[in-house]
Amino acid sequence: MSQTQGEIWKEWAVAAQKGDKKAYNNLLSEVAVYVRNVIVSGLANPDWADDIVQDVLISVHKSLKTYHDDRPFKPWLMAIVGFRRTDFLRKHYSKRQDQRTSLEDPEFLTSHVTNMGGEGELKDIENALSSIPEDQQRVFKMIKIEGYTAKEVAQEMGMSESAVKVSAHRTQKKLQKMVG
Amino acid sequence: MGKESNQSIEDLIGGLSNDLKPIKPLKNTALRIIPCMGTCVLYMALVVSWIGVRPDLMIKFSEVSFVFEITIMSAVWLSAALCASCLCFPDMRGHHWAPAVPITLFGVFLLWSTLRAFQEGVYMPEIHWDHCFVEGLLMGGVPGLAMTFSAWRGNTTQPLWMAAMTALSVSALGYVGLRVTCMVDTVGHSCIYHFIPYVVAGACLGMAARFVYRW
Repeated sequence: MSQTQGEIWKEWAVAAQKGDKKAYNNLLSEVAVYVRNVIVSGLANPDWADDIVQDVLISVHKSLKTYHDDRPFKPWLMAIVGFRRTDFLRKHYSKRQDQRTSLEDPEFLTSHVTNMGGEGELKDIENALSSIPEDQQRVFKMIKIEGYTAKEVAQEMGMSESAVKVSAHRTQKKLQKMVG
Repeated sequence: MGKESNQSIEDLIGGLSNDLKPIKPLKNTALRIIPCMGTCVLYMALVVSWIGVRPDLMIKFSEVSFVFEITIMSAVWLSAALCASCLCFPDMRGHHWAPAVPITLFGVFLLWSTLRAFQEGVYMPEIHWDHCFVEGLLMGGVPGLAMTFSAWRGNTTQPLWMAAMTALSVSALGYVGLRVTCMVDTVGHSCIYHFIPYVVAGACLGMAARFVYRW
């Protein structure tokens, strides 16, 4: 009977615990590809996948002693993958890296970046916005276009949070009247 | 970028394979925790004998409610320690239900304490520095360290749960020790002086969990 991928990895993991470097190399090579395929679709930036894969491989190396052959290999691996993925994203979200992406992957651009052919359609809005006082323009752009929170804009502009929200709301109303 | 990242992963795999040495798998959950729990029991026995048991202990052991309290908190200690041992494995060795046991037992204890409070009255004491704080920290210090060292030998993927189970286990053990040494039986005294130090210590451990249990 042919073995499943999980059973093969289990054998390689047990062999690796005994010091079999070839089996370990095969295991890590296949695990790297598998983990990358599993995590890449759930990431905002596909470039992060390789960093997470490296973290997972190092974690597998450090925690190999916690694997027992009376348990299937994949749940053990996926527990580590979930842990490292969450760790990585937590670090990046705290640095607002979720707001940055890669421009080097054309497939990612076509699937994730919308309205690629729509440059210039927003000219009416841009013209209307330029007629509004600079401070109000800046607040509006930061909240509505760049995606900052009201708290962050308030800190940047030296205003209160409620003043920021009121300013953004009024600017939006003005723009709606101008553009129609 | 793709070729470079593939190369760096291949280099990493090559490096890790070269570094590989034969390793002995960690012992299973129960076997791992036995030395730690044995140390805790021995330590507690020494501390309790040093502080001195309450003079009416034999009389209290004839009371069903006292025996029930000691038994259930001992069960919380044991189950939380076993759960913490499971948490040393990334996949908890499949025992994802393990935290439910000490939490349920602790819930039963809290419910029972609430009923006791309604029946007997709470008798909330004045808050001041009490000998129970010091004795509680003395009883919980070494077991807490022992469990943390045991956790460091493993690789947990759930540091917050690990902190919670460690705190629960140490609290339960300390509570049993304090009930055996402290003569005050009111619910209010138990809550403030037997529990609060452990709650505070547990909260601190919880906040630092990702740092304490990182690997």
